[in-house]
Parts: sequence; structure tokens; C-alpha cells
Amino acid sequence: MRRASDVPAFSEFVEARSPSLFRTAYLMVGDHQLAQDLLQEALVKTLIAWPRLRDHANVEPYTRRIIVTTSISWRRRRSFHERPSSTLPEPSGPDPAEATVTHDAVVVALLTVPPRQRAAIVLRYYQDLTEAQTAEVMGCSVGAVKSQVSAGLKRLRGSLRQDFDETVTGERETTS
Amino acid sequence: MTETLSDVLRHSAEAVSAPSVDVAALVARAGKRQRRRRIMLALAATAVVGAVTAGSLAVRGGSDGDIEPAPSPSPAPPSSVAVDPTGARPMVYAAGSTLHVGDETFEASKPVAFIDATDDGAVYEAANDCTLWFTDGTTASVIGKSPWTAAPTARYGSVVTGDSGSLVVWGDVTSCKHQEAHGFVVYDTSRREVVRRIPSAGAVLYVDEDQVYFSPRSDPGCWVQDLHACGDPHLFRYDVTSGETTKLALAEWDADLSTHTRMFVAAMPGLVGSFHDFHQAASFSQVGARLVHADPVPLTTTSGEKVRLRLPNGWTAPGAEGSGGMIQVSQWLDDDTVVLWADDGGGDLPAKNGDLLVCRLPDGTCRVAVARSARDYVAPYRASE
Repeated sequence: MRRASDVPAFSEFVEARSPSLFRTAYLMVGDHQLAQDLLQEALVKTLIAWPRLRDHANVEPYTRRIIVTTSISWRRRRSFHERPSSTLPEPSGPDPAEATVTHDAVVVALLTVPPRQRAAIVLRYYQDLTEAQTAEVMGCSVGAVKSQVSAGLKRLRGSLRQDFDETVTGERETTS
Repeated sequence: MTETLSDVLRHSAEAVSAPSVDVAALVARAGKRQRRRRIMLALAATAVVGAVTAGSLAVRGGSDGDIEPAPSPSPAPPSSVAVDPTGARPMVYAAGSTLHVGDETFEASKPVAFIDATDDGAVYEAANDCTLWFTDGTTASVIGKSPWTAAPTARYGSVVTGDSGSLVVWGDVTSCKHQEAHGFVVYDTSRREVVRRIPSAGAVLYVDEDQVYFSPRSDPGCWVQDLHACGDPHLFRYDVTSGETTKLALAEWDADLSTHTRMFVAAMPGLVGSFHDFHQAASFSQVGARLVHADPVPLTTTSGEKVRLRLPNGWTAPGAEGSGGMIQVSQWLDDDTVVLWADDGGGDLPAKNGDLLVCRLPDGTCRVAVARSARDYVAPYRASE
């Protein structure tokens, strides 16, 4: 049973961290509404676990882990399942809107990457987690993280070849 | 375009407006889920801590009126109830009024609403009429009354069997219309008789071959099994053979549970203690050909081996895409074999159209034991429509 003091503390946590957690959820599912559902699901599970979280510094990693594992288990949801890469936005020119189009294209392309590979990429390249931290969140070995990231980047690069070759996936792939 | 992937992901994510989160709604959802989990964990607060009722109360079949005194517990020798010669517990489930007990089938008079297993057969209730029956698959007899089985949402927790052995425990009531328990009835399906009455009411937590673990509190402020720490959970262990009751500390409770093999354990760094799963708390999700623990916590056996389960080739979880089907433990057949039920989730309503899977823990293989059909089934820890 939660203590009365848990709710204000949880509320504080939500206020402070939910924007960042939502963005992680968004990158995992690529859909605003689904990301909201995912965040809410993760926060509900976090609240249930709250009294047992010995160190509240663990709360955000715990919630992030739920987001990742839940999004993987939701993989068959139609709304973010097998997004066709043919719907990628047209290549942009020297237009001021170039950056936005590019970012959208990356999100759409990310959805063509299998969920675990996508999770590994999001955790490594968006969350800036180390391979070991990523492995802990995903519940797998560091070796598995390396292979997931490698396979994911290969797929991502394939989807984005015309627009991003060398510029997006090239720089950090070899850093860890 | 010269940004790194990291920069692009960050910019993409930050371009999305984060919604405001309704904390009150989350608190309400969490509360609802915890209540449901408690019910499913056999901890429903269905009983009132009551005064001890001296003497025995009994069971009779038929009407839902007052209950007549039952025979006192006797030291009669075990009867010759059929038991699987391999020592494995029979798999039990019901479809409509047809009960399946291992290889046997038995026709109940009405559709079965509740079923659970002992080593000797099935305990069931037909048509929510407050009457508990036991069948070994060939004959059936009334063993008692439990009004809480009639409440669809409180079905579990009111009648508890062990994962091994022959004991069935339920709240002792004087009337099906008055749901105040005076204690617990302990019935032995191998002897087919009431063997003990525990003079304390509350919630039964766990039953094994010869012991009943219970909490005499109906106050939900300090649950033993939940995702929280409970400093003084008021735990008791009742020894059915000696009739003695012992108060347990939380560590003793944990240690006792750790000796049981038919149980899963979930634990995570940063969380306080372990979470012993008494069945349903362990939800699984299908990931390709594997079943993975739905919560982000490693699931192990009590001996510490990681639970790794593989689905049959081509098997897919029931339900439409995105429906969030559920896969949970129904019963243990032996120390290495567990039955899972899988259905379409059903949201807050009873779900339908699932399979019963039998999984072997040593090699992680699962097979479909009962395939889904248009006819819904009732299985241990799975409600009827």
C-alpha cells in the first residue's frame, strides 16, 4: 500500500521528469497518442512500485526501463507496426524547413527498425547511456546491445541512405 | 545536414510537445490495478476479523440458506481417491458444465463458474450458487459453502488450494447471505473431509501440503504480498497436523516461501526484498517465439534459475492486434511443469478465447494443451464470463 507521502513525491517526479520520459516513449513508438499511453502505463507501474524503490534515484531508470520493455511488448500494435519506409518524406532542399523534415524522416525511419534494435539506438544515442547501462535497461548482455545497435544502425542507414548517408549515422556508430 | 544521429534524435524528440500528465488519474489507475492484483493474489479483503466461533460448522449441498453443523475433524485414514500414478497433479479446467480432470471428464449440473486444483482433482462451483464441490473426475460431492465465490470480482482469494497437496481452505461462514467469516475451513480432498477449522478470520495468503499461511487483518493498510514493503504484516502459519498457530516475521515468511518449488520469484536491484509470485502476478508477453516476463523485473524459480519459455512454432497470442492479451500462470502440474492460460486480455471484463499452454521449465518448451475455441473455458485463476 502506498503511503500518503508517496503521492506528493510521485507527483513531483512526474512534473519534473515526464517531458523527458515522454520523448523517450515517443522515439520508441513514433506516435504522439501511443507515446502518451506508454508514458501513462509506465508511470502507473512506477507508482505501484514506488514504496519499494529503495533509492529514489532509481525511479527514473526504473520508469525508463518500463517504457522500453513495454514498448517492445506492444510491438504488434498496428499504430506503430511495420511503418513502410516508402512513406519517408521527400528529400529536402536548402529550405528553412529542412531540419524539421529531416527529423521527421529519422523518426519515421526509426520505426522501420525492429523494436529491440530501436530501443538500443534510442538508449544509446538519445539517452546517451553507455553500452553497459543500455544492457541493464534492456535486460541483456553488452554483446547483445552491440549487435542490436549495429543491426539497427545498418537498417536505419539503409532507410535513410539518400538523405543521411555519412552525416547521421556515421559519426557515433563507432564510439561507445 | 551535418548533425549526428544523437543530435537528430534529440531535436526530433524535443520538437514534440510533451503532454501534461494527470497525476490524479494515474493514482486512480494504480489504485484500481493494485486492488485487482490483491484479489488475484488471493488477498482480497473479503473477510472481517471475527470472533472465534467455537465448535464446528458444517457444509451441506443444495440451498443457499444457513449451513448445518458439519462433522468434526476426524483422524480417518485417507480414502482411495484417484491420483495420477506419476505423482503429477491433473490439469483441470471446465468448458460450460463439463469438467476436465486430467484424462477424465465429469458433467456438472450447471455451467462451472470457478475451478481450482488439488493433487486429487478439482474443486469447483457451478453457477455461482455458493456451493463448493470436489470431483476426482468420476464422481462429485459437496464439500462446503463459500459465498464469495459468487461475486465475480472476488472469486479468487475466497477459496484457496495449495500448489501441491490436498488442502482446500475457505472462509467459514454461517450463511451464504451473510458474508462474515468466523474462521477458515480446512478441507482435505484426499480424505474428503474437513480436517481443521482455524479460529481466526482474515485472508489466506498461501497453502501448502500441511500448512496455511494467513493474515488476520482485513485492514488493507499492510499487505504482505504487493509491490511495497510492509514492516509488520501480521502473518501467521497454521500447522494443520498439530493445529498450532505460529506468528511469523516477514523474513520467516520469505524463508518459508523460498523452500517451495512451485513458485516464481521476481526481484530487482533497488527494490526491497523479493516478490514471490503465487500464480497470477507473473504476467508474460509474447516476444517472437519467446514468453518474457511482462514486468521489467527478472523472473526466476525459487532455486534462482531464470525462467525462459519458448512458444510452440507459429503460436500467436489471442486477441486482435494491440488488444494486450494476457498470459498468466494457471496451475502447477509438478515441480517442473506449469500451465499458463492465454487470452485476449479483455480489459476490465473477463476475457475470452484463449489457449491453455503447458510449459516445462527445465528446457523451456511450451505446448498447447487446450486450443482456443468459440467456447470459453474456466481454469484455475481464470474467471468465467
